[in-house]
Amino acid sequence: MILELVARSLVRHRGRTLLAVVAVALSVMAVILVSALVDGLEGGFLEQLTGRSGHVRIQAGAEHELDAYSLEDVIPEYSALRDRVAELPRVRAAGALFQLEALLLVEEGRRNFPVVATGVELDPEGRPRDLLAEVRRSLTTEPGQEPGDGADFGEGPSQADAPEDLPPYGDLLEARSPREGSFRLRSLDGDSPYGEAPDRETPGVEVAGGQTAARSSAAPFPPDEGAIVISQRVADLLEVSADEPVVLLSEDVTGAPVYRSLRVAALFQTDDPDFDRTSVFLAHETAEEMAYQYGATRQIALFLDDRADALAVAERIREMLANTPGAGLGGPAVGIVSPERSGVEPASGEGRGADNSSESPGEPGGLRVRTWEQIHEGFLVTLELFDLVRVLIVALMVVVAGGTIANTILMSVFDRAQEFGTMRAIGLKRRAAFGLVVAEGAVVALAGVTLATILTVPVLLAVPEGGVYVGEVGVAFGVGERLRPVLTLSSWLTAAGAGLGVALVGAGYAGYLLWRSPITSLLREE
Amino acid sequence: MQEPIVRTEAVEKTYLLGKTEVRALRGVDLTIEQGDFVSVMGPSGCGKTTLLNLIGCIDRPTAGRVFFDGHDVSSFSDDQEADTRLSGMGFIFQSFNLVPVLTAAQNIEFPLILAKRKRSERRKRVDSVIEMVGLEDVRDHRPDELSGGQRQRVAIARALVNEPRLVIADEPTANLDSETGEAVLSAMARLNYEDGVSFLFSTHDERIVSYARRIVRLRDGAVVGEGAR
Ligand SMILES: Nc1ncnc2c1ncn2[C@@H]1O[C@H](COP(=O)(O)OP(=O)(O)OP(=O)(O)O)[C@@H](O)[C@H]1O
Ligand SMILES: [Mg+2]
Repeated sequence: MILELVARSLVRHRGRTLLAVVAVALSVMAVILVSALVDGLEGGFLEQLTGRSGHVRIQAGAEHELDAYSLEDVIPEYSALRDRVAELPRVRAAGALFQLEALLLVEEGRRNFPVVATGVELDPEGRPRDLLAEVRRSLTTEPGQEPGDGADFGEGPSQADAPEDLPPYGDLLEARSPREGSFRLRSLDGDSPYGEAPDRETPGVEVAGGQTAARSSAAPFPPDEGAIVISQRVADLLEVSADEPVVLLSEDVTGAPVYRSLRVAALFQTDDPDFDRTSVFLAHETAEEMAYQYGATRQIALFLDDRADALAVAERIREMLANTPGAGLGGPAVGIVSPERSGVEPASGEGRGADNSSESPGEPGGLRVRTWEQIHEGFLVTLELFDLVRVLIVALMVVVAGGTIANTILMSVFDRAQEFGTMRAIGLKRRAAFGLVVAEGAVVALAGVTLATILTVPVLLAVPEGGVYVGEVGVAFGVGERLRPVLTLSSWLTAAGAGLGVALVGAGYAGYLLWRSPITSLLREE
Repeated sequence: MQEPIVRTEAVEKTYLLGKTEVRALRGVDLTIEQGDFVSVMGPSGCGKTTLLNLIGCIDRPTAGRVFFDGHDVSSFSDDQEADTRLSGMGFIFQSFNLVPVLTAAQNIEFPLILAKRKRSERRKRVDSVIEMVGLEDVRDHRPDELSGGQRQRVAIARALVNEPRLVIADEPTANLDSETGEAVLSAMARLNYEDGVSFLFSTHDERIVSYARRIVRLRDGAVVGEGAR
């Protein structure tokens, strides 16, 4: 009957009970939503960041940050290393990334745009699933077309569309190259002054059905040899569209300018405008060719099944590099790597390995192995800020809702002062009276948490994988155009815990005041 | 001779109203024998409620001692006081003070639950006191569905259900019309006569005093007259 008494009291004062339940529910919902948004943002950021960098990255140059534009820091003969690390446990895929600082030119250089051109390599086993997934997801061949409406990549025109007359880039290059002395302008569209590139096997892609097929010109990403993928935003700026030719101008390892005419295979659009404006993607071979670093890469990006394993995997790779000097790779290429040396003549492991260890005692093999946490240290600080915001919002919720709930319960208890006084006079003990109030608070809290769960969880679960489009509002707040709230058990538990805690503390406070009140003063209240 | 059920010794009660002291009781000596039917009378503000609260272990005296059944209740702990009220006393209030969300029968059953009586025993006791006060027809009604007289009879039944040695009733008829009030009092008198339950009630209604076997007159916190009717 005590439970019945609690239930009936709550029903009798249903207006007030409802108010308290709604207050609990609102605070729980707010905490769930804020947590889901923060989790979504964090998860999205981490996914985006690791999608661009991999979970573990191997790069040349141990002592200093990878200078993206010093082409001397490369991993020569990277394919052997890539294959070895790809087979490590917990590694899902590994692929090479070759970055070049470049200028994107159209219409004979009348319009140009500085970009970072990244040569992307497919994992020989298939696609590294997460590598630049945000780019791949959004590919389209139509400018202005919404991403993901099934652009047709079936037939792409080939090199035939490359401009026949090479534009006069000389002036531009002269102005651009600060280096002393002369350089030879190298056009990869015509004869290379260094001679032909070494032959190499074209990596295959796994297609549906499990066979590995030679990559066809239909594959939009990574682009074919001779093709380029640029963002919708860059395409708009340069007024080019898919299938049109652009020219990519860069420097090779000697400092000599080099350009290549490339066909725009597809356009992408992520919700990070800065990334879109600075990133274009090539076939890895094209990047090697332009940098004049055949068979080399700048980074190997590893994708793990679980990013939490990054440290362990990185450690494992360091061990591997230390135990097998050379490890199938040469030391960092220093100076000009002639085409004869690079690719045609594999580096001899032992000698190089010894060189490297003397150069960089910290990391074996002259290579640096970094986890996503190390790569994105700066960004992770930002994420901690998000966490702080979450904590603050939860705290604010708790204070505001807690005040309302405590007040409501307090009012409801002292409205019934005479009732409690009578029960006390009849023989109800102090702690039993306290227990009655707390039991009411617990029922209110459970109802509030249930209501919040019913109202929030299905909505969050119904959010499509792509998130909810919020457009400029999101961009203005620096969270991207799409919100992808992610509901986790821990955020639900946090919210439910906060709701229960708030209601129980409120009820406990009211119960405590009741506990302290003398029976005579309770009985006197009308 | 039998131990009196209640004895007070020079009981004083002083309330602090801001900085002024209100001396509600100024040394009251009172003895209530078992089976007595005592009425405390006096004008408003003379200290009737204060005295009944002290005897009922609801409040503590500023000075002096209160004995219930031979025990000095001022030495009781909070829980002992509650247990004494639960098992030794019954309370009837001027405004009935029933729990509004419980039915008449549940209100009556409540002290039995607090006393942790078994369900079968509870049912038997509730049935018997309901019959005693004649509420069989309305046992499942809520207080707001009952008349004032019915409510006070529920309160009497609730006060009696744990078979107390003493029933304390502070102006039990003040909220009832005189006819109903007399009916309630005659029910109390019958219980006193038939079952030997001691009653202590306060009133300033001279007509009702006729039911009392003994009258204690209070004025300004002191006993000014005492005696059998
Ligand atoms: N909690 C309190 N604080 C201050 N003074 C009080 C308090 N309770 C009672 N008093 C004062 O003590 C005196 C006695 O009050 P009490 O309620 O015992 O009188 P009463 O005889 O029951 O009066 P009534 O017939 O009106 O019920 C009065 O002057 C009253 O104002
Ligand atoms: Mg009074």
